[in-house]
Amino acid sequence: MEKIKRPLNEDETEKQELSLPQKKYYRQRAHSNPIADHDFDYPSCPEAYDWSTLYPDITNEKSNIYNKRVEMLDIGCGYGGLLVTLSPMFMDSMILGMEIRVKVSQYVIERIKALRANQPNCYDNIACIRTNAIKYLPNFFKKGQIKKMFFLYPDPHFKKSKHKWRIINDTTLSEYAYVLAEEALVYTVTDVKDLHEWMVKHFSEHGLFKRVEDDDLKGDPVVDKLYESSEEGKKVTRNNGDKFLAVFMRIKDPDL
Amino acid sequence: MTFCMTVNETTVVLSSIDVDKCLVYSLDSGNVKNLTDNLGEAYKNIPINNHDLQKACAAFSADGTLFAYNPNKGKLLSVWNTTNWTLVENKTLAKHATNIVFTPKTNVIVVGDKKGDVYAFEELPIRILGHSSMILDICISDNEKYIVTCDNDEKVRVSHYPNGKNIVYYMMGHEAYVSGICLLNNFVLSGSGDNTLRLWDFNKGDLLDKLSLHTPIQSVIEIENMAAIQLYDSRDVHIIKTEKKENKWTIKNIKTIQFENNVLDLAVYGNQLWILTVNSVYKYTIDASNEIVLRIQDAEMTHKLETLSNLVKSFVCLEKTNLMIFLFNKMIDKRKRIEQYQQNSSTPVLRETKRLRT
Repeated sequence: MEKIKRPLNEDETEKQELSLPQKKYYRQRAHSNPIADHDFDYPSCPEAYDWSTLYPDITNEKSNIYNKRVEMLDIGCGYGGLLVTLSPMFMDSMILGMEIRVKVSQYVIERIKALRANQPNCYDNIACIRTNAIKYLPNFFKKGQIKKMFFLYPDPHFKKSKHKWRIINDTTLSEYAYVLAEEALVYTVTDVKDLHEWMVKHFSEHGLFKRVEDDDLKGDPVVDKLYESSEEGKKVTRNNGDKFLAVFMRIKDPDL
Repeated sequence: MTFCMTVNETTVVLSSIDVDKCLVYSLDSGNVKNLTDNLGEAYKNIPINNHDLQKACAAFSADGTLFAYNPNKGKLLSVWNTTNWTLVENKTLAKHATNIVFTPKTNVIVVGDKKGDVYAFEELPIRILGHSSMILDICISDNEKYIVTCDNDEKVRVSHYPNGKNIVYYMMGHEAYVSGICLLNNFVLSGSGDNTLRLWDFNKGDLLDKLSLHTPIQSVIEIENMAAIQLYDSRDVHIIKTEKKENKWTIKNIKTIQFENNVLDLAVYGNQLWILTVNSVYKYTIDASNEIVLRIQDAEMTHKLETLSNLVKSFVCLEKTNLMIFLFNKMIDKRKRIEQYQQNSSTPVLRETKRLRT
């Protein structure tokens, strides 16, 4: 049966003009092997990377992000929902999404391009790259550079043999601790209880992180956004699933 | 590297993964003992492993009383008492070892493996740190406060010891696997498949100098505050030192020694530099203050070196188990892929290649 087209209302006309990329053309299998050697474009050291290709405003003296460096990281940013939500909340901070899946990262890149084109002077502080965060964080960032880091609905890799692929493990936590500044915050959300417990256990046992109690999160404007901003989050809500949040703070090495 | 050579005051040990032999040659008596023959009946019954990539590694403790190596089979770490060459213990490793060192003061064995983990073997194995790819070399500072590791992913990392989870610095810049590192005073010297040696400030993590040797570097070993450099598939050994020039620290190549055949491994004891080639063993001494590198070839030593050379000739070298050949080929493949990508490059966004030069 052919659908009868109704006239578009004002809101929808605007949406069409923006010509945002459509997710259906950018779907990809959810799992990726982070240990295999893919070919990525990455700098040999942080100094070698030209950030102005991602953030053209970095060279604009009038911009909020003039001469700044990336301070927030969304690892496994998916379709970029959180980036778009955070952008107006932290106008002065550069926020970067990292995504390992080719098509998905292309979608985010196209999406940001469209958003910038349609709303000049907005969304200049967000960008996305396709990379493997497990391997290449120190190629992009210097010690203590990052103030906030997000892991929203990471791949749970249910099978025990695939646990080593999880984005949170002993090895990766040391790297995250390296790029994080002291007192920087790491936000994790998942709908899988087993993964939530895994993450809490690894962060708590690592020694350079401390869990932030739920009471202390009340004033944090980011927390509310975490549940709904990403596509995965909306899906969980639709299915009435549980959501587990845990926030950790990078602390000084207590032994030093 | 399926061969390795290790030296202490009175002994030269030659270990070969492919033929599964670890020969202990006493410089005093001239006796030869094959340690692998003494690993027990259970060991003999395991079939020989000539399909996995392995790297022969061995080390003496700083005081020379202990020796550890990895035999061919069963992911073992075999520890020996060197006074009478008796087996102390066989420890099981989680993965094949790629590097064995002893801590300089406390004589704890530290092992790096193919997964990228580093374990310290005290009473029980303790996981010190982990990389996301294979560990290729390990150094521990003299005060045992820091551990320096390098890996297949172009990284050199300084971590606290024993709490290796706390990273002091990543020293980034190499553009291929980092095959060797050593500590020279306040510097870290690293050598890589990208042909370069790089000198890093140990306290700040900054790059101070780099030197291209035009051939991939296979190993870097400290000797008398200088360093001996072994190259991939090459007859040359370079001796380098650090030098202050116009207020900047630089790397200076002071001598290149060329041998008749390809160099397989280097070993250092005190000021002695031992070089293992495909069919011979050579001994040099180094006088660092006068930059003199002297070949030892008196009659007595020549006789001993000949005996050692004959032992080496009994070894075979398989290409498919050789880790360094594998790493080299992988690097070449990657470069080819990148060239191809660049030739048919589409939009910049879609290009997923690694930059060769930055």
